[in-house]
Amino acid sequence: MYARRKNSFVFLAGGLLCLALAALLLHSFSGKFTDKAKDEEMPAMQDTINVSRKSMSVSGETTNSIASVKLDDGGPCVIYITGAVKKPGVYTVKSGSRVYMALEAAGGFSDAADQIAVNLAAPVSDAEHLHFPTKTETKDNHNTYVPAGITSAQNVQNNNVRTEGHSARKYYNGTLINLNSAGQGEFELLPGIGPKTAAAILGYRESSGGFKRIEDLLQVKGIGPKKYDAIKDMVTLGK
Amino acid sequence: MENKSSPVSSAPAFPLLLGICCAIFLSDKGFASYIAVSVAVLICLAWMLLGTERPSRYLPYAFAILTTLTVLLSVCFLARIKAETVFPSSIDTFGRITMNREWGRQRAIMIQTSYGCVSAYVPVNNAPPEGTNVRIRGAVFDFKRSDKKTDFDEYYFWRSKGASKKVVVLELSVISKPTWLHKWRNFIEQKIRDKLPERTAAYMLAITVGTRDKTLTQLHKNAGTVHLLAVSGFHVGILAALLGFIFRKRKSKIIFMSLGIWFYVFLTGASPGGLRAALMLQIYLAGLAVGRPSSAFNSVSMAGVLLLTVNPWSFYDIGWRLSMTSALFISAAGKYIKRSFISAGLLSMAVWFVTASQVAFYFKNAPVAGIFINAIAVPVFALIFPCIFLLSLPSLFGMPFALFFSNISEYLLEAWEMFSHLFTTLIPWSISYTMPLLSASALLFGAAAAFASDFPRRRISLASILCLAFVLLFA
Repeated sequence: MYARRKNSFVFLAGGLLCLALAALLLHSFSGKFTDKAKDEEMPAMQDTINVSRKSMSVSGETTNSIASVKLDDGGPCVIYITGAVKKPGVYTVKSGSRVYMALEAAGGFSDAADQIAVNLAAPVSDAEHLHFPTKTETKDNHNTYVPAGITSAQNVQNNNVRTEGHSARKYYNGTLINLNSAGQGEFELLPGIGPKTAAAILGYRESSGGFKRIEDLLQVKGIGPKKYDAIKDMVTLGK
Repeated sequence: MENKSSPVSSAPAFPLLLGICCAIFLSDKGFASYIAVSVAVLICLAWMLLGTERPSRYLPYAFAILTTLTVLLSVCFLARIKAETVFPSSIDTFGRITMNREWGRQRAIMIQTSYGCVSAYVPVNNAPPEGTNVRIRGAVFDFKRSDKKTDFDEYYFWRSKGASKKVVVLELSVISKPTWLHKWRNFIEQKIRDKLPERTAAYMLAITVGTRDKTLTQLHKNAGTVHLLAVSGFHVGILAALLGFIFRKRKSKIIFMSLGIWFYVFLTGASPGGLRAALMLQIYLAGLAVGRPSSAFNSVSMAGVLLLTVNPWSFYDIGWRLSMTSALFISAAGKYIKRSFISAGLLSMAVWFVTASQVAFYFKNAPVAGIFINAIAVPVFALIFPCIFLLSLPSLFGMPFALFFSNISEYLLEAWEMFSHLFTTLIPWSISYTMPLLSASALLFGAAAAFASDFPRRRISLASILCLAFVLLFA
């Protein structure tokens, strides 16, 4: 009888000891020594994989993407050159060529060309349409928006090498609208974006601390899949 | 001689489940994994030691095995919970729709892709049925987290369902139509909608394919009987009883029952409650087959561990929690309650108290009428469900007198709705989440679990109080 009681007491004491130890652990480590990973929890997402081609931000900084690297490292680029050049036409240039190389292939500027309006250092990619404007055309284009952080002269330069390739993005090459610095007026230039949606974009930017990727546009009220598809190639995140 | 009066011999899976749940819970509360696992082991050991009165030859081995299992499974589950699947920011891939459910004015779908499982909200007319193979193009986002712990947390909800990320769909096109089980589900659903009157169809959809009608769900929510519409142990139990009766004279009864149960559970969409019940019954039937029937309480605990093994995120699923709490309590208390309609009613009332705090926490309130309605609803629906199923068959198969039978079914259900409405009018109050309610739930559950684990009588109250203390510590 005594042995049975003793055993029972031992089990009870053991159980209570375990609970006391558990309570001690919980008390001692409450709020401390949490998993490092938990503290530094970041969304488990790779950097944006831009499935479109290489793009140039407003500041002229190149954003590399997996797809574009493959494309530009490939074979020669076939481009269509029009406007104020001596020999407009279709030319084949080496991959990674710049606008000045394409210009050389087209025989150089014609007399009517606005030479300072062109960014000759801009990269060229396959199937592009490079249009070199005349001085008259440049004047007409002066009325276009001036993205934040870029001087008017730069804007003119960027705007006037029209690269009307296979996507709308190319029209905006060099003058993509910076989601993290553009103003309401600039957003309203995008197709399908009115004052309300532009304000919503600004509101989202303020509340979320800026756009981290272009896809974040889908979180903005008023931007659905169709609108997103229409504008995604016309915007950039900048730096 | 083996000690029969110990949790180790009567319900060894329960301390294991208790330990694992503690580890996941504490890890979620911000404790480092090793602290969470250490506390989990101590809690598991404490439960086993407190419930044991006499030593036996095998006790140290059993303790060692259960402790080791607790450590291994806790570490494994925590690692799986913390491991985040890496997704690109945009996807353009193929996948299969694994879930399609109502989501306000939209539909929520879950798609199994090569990257992992993703969820998406799509317009009603753009939601392919379950089992459809699709091509999806969209932007990937993290789930939203709620600021308040009482608010709906999109992250926990979808993770517990198996989805890792949310996709805003830019393009969704059907590649091929559903096949096999999904095809059957869709066929049955369509047939029920086409052939049966509205009320009967709503109930039949709930019990056959697990699709819940919005109006019917609200009606049962008001009465606190919404659990009757979710496929769980109640439905699986009715089916098992029917199958057991049909094949009572056959030696292969267990095989037929097992096949029937699993087919039914997958046909209804494999909800946590249904899976838990099927696993529990399977464990019980396996025990019968080998001549060592397991206790219901132990089978439920084991089913809980197995469900967590499949998806540790199930711990955050309200369906899993409610299903486990109520099933554990019913299996624990049911052991000592006589098999009668009055006992079933009393048990239902007790289950309401055990689950009320969770219901009030997640759904903002728990209707008081549920205490009384459940006491009647559970035994009544154990008869109503088989009845409406049989009465619907003539309509579904185009047999004679179909209208007559389906009208009987409608009158039966209408009578129940009137009765339920009367009760909710007489007792219109509902209670919100409060500490006394939580304390009552914890005390009741702790006592029942200790009772089912064969604790010495004088230690049951101690276990109950300790259970309460632990719950209140983190409430």
